Amino acid sequence: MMIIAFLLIVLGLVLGVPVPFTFLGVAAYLVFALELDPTFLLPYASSEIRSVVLLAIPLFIMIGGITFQSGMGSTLVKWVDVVFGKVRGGLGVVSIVSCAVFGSISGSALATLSAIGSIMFPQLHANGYPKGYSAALLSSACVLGLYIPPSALMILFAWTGGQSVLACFLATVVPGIILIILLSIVNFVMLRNVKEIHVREKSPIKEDIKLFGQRGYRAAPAMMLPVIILGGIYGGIMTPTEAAAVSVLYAIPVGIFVYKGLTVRKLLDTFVSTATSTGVIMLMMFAMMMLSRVFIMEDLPHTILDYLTAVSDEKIVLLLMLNVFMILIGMLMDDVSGVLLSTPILLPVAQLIGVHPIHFAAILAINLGMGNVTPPTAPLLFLGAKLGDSNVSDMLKPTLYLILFAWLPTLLLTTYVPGLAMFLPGLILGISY
Amino acid sequence: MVQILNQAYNWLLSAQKAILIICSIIIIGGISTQAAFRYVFRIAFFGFEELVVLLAFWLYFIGASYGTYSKSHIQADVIPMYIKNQKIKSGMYLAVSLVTIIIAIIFGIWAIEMFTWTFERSPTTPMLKIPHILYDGVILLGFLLMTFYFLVHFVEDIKSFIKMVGSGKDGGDQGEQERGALL
Repeated sequence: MMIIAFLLIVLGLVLGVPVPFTFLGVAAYLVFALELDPTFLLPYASSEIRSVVLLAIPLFIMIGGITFQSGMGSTLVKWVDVVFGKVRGGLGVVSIVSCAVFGSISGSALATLSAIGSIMFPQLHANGYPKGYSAALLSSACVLGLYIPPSALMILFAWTGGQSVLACFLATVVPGIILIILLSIVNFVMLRNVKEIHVREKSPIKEDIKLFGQRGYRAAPAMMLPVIILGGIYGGIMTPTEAAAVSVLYAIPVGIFVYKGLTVRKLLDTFVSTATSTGVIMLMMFAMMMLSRVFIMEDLPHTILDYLTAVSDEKIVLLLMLNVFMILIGMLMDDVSGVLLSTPILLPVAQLIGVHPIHFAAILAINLGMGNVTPPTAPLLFLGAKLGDSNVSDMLKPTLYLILFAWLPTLLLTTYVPGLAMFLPGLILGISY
Repeated sequence: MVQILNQAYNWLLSAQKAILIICSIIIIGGISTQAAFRYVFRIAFFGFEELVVLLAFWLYFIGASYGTYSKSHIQADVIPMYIKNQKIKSGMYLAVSLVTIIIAIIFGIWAIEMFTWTFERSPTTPMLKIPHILYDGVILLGFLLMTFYFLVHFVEDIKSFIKMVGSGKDGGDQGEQERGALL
């Protein structure tokens, strides 16, 4: 029965049935096939999503929308450009670091790609960077928005898996930094022989320091956002939801009066688009709550574990198989659907083989982030192609290099060196593993 | 008649947008105010969460139905991406639309059952005594609106399919462009 359910999920997804309705359809199939009483499903899902914690998701998406509309992204890019803009391939690093910096404000990879991509693509093209390469690089780099806190994905994981939001936020930071470094190295190596690239002229170091200060001053109001969010949360002053709401309240006047890109019209449009995105995510969550309830009733995690341990009972091999499973999920669906499907099924399996849930949060996040840029279902790759005016086919080769030499090493390190993901949760929250 | 229906359709969309904007503003203002009062004045609003979650429910389900109207639901679309024949592709979109409608109807019926159950027993929240029917009602409303918009898209897909079959074209970008234009 469960195998048919899985096949139906895959079939629904590849045929193009909207993801929440694929989940709902499979839940309905299981209700009928297992002759369950359907009256418990909706009230169960309804009671599960009555949580104020979940409200942080739309609020963080909203911050992404407001910062994008207000033009804060361009200020941040100019600031980062002072440091990295003068070496061959430096603009690529500016893009990567800008995505990470923007990720500390926005909780979403799509918002990061829209904000930084719309600023960086014209500059990259004007400076001779190949279009396919630029689109591939930014599609990969924007995933950093999921790893540098706050992260809407980690809120979803924490809530679905019953874990601490703060610990999950911290778990992806070190893997995120490793990814920044590896993406930058691959960027330099891939561009070392591209002669068409223009490099900004060298200038005296004093001038650079002055420029850094001037642009830093201009970027300071935007950089107050991560201070409010992270300081508020980790200082114990606010919950993640409150920190997100206060940040939205701060970002609105800053966007209108300081950066002047935000208007009342744009703000109202941002409210509607954010609410729509939230509705889409929450419907998926609502559907997944029902489906996972049936999965748990049928003891699916133990069934999966039995299948896995039939192959091997070595933790290294089991982790490898879990990773392959998650990579396949990541290739088939977007990160939000992936986290909603994987968490209730795979988190118990991971715990049974001795993986700490917070460590698993980081493993899952890297897998699903990589899935976002891995065809056939690669939403960020397709958006990157659209924003970067490139063909997806031109992006495939650079994407493959980025996956092989940046993503996969990050995934392996995160999986097999638990200390990397657990370092900050241990240091700040005292979580041991 | 068509004009009246069009007006009603536009009014419905405007009403949904208004609900989304109002809920967003109250949620942002409410949560920030609560945080400020708790931190500065050491005052907590008991039961405030019940109100915020109610508004969140309206945001989620009206947002989800608006997402159905604007075709914002996430789809993988792997197989249709590789099909070049536009007739087959259109036929597949029709089949997918039909399956989605059937699923929406099943959950619409279950939502009606949940709503009726709540209506008969009239439970309320512990602190502010907010009737549960306001939570369950918007779930029902959300599923009804989603079913309605899926039906609208289904009719559009049928028109597109008929037009394509009638034109005798079966492949290439032209067929795709015509489908786009029709939608």
